[in-house]
Amino acid sequence: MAQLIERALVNHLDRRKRYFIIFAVIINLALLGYFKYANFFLGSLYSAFNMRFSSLDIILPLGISFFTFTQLAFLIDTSQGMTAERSFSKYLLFVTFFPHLIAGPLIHHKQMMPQFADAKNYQLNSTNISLGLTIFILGLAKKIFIADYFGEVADPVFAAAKTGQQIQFFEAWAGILSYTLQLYFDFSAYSEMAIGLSLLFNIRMPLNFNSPCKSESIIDFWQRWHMTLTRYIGEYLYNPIAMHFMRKEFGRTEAGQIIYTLIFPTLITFIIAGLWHGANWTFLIFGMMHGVYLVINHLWRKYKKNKAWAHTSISHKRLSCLLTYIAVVFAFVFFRSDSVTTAGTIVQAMLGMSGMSLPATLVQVFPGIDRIASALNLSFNGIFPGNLFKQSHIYILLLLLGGHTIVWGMPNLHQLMCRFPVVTQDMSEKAMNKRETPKGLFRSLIWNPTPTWAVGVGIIFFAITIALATIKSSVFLYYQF
Amino acid sequence: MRYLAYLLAGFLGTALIYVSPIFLLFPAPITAEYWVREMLVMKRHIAMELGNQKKIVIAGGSSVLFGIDSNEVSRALKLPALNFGLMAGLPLDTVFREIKGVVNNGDILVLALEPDYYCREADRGYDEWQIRNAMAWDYQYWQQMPLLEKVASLRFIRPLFPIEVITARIDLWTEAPILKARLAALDDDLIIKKYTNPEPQTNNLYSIDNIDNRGNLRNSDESSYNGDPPSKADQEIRICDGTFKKLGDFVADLRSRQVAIFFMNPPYMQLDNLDYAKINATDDAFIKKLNPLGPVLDRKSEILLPRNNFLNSDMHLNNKGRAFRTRLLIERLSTFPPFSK
Repeated sequence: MAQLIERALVNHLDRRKRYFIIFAVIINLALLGYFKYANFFLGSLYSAFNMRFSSLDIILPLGISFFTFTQLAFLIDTSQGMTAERSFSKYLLFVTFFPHLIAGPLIHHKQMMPQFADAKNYQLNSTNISLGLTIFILGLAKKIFIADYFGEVADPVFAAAKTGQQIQFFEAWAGILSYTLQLYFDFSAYSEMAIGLSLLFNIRMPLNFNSPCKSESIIDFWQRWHMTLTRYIGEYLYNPIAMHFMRKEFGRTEAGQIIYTLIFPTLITFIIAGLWHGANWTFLIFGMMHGVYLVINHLWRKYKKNKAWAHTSISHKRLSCLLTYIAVVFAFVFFRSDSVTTAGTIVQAMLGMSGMSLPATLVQVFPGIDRIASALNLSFNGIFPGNLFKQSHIYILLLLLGGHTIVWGMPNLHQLMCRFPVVTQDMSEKAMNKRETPKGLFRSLIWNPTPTWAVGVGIIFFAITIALATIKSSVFLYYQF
Repeated sequence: MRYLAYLLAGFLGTALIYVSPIFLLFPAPITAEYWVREMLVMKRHIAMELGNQKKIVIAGGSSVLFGIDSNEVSRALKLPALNFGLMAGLPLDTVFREIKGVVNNGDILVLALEPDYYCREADRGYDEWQIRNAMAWDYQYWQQMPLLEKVASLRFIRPLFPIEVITARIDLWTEAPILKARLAALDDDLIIKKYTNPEPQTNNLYSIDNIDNRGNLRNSDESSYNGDPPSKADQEIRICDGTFKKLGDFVADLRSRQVAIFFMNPPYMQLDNLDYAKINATDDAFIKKLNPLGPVLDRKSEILLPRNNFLNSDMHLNNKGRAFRTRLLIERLSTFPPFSK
């Protein structure tokens, strides 16, 4: 490992510095490896040799993935002379800056250090406090009043699949769509809370979440979902791997170039990104699926470019968006499942291989349909035939409809805050160029420090206070990473 | 800064609107445990019937209601005895207030509180059940609560509680039939009438028709409890500072009225893997702490009963368990004056 790090990063440094950097990188990776992956590797090793395994009693330190990656980026850039921070206290502040530690974003020293160094940021700023508090409260409301409700529909489906219970087509789709929305609202809520909290201290976080469900391709998806992770793995994994292959001149032919500069680096990068989310084969498959999606997406783009195709119609965009969403949803089955077997059960059901139940009234409307249907493994016991859900069918359908209307039809919080710089400029500019500011009716929702907004946010804050005082518990899905 | 001021105003304004029905529309006949009130009124009445004669009052939560036969105590110790077992969810202040109301100078009081009672409202706050009952019928308790405590207690209620209060008041104004039974439970004369003319047979265990004229529960022959209770006997009885102070004040007050005070354990269930050394150790600690306030009549290990002695929970004894516990109480009380020879 030391040799790899040496060749990749620190070959140009003098001996003493080189050893320091190698040592620091290894220590960081070793701690992450021990706390996060030791049980996974030991368990996999033992199961490969059919041995009994009792797991190590390890408690995962909060935010370890985030602060380890933050430190690694700093070390790598320091070794390449790209940063020259000498203040230990500023460095400590940068690594332990709490708003981002639980669920991101992954902060980068280039974005943060200048802000920590700016004396103005150590003074109270009422505009930033107003903005920060508003964003934090709206994020928390999203978590409490939206995200958690989808979890109540998703959890029983995955729990049933875990215990080997048969799940049918619509149940599986209700479960995974609910989970997708739960994760979406949960993650976006946390990202907003982190941005809001940070603004209270006059610090701008990078944008991490920019309406990913509106993506028209997987490439686009990763530029909107966990944007800081995409940037990180691009800079510190994909580029070094691709450069390595290019330097070795592996890809002399066009096919070779595709294999060595696109397929290999993408797959390796996304397998690592998948495993970064958790120590389980399911995360590895999640990463691999996205790696394959991205390769296909890049090849398709190249093909379209060669053929000079330009699909710009609205219907094409919507179709692309839907296709991207379905691909993402299938990958999330692995992201949510506790094992590959559970994920397999859900995927089978989503593909209709475990049967499909339709509303019983169809038999009355179309007499004789049941005879044809049985050949297709269809039954007529209602769309959710099992007793998986405690909610009514109508409630679940309306919930899913409402959730998708929000993610596809409404502006995100960053767009509503477009009049004020609430995130670091680099990410903000990129995102704002990509998406226009809200239009039509939504223009009236653009945030301004008006009494109406303030009173409205105050009311929401009180509702959250009451809800938090009475609900038993509510966890963030992304906290474990 | 103006924005923040408006935000705070929005927060406080909503809070005010939210809590105002609770304060402005108090009292309201919301859903609550009205039968506990009926039982209270009835037991107060029994105590009044006994007049000024010296008596034994055995008080506590439902473990006393189900677990002591005061008729047996009366027969054995030649003094009228009252089962003043109520409900373990009632606030300690309410229990103390009610006990003070029924105990006369020179009486004998046996306090058989459930373990949970030794660390109560003064230390751990309230629960919704208590706030509900206070709003619905325990007016005195609600009125005596300091305003700040009232506001703080609202964090234990469910979000739509104020709406429930409003609805209950509308039902009251419109004389909705749903309130008939609740309102009957607020009428002392009606309750006493019901007590003097009880229904001949009732299937409802939790009804004053099922309580005799010494406060004992009548129909408790079964042994239907098949739950899996936590191992309580070997757990320490936590006596919190605030509650202990309240208990001390209560005892001092009664002592000044020459009331003899004893303490007693609730029943415990025999379970596998009980740590007997721990049971004794926790018992020693409990007795040591309570001794300055009064003697503890039994030890936990003496009141560890098999499952078939329990009725419908791990605190409610059936007839068999009740007979055992009552005998133990009589045996221990008889060693103290005025019963000891």
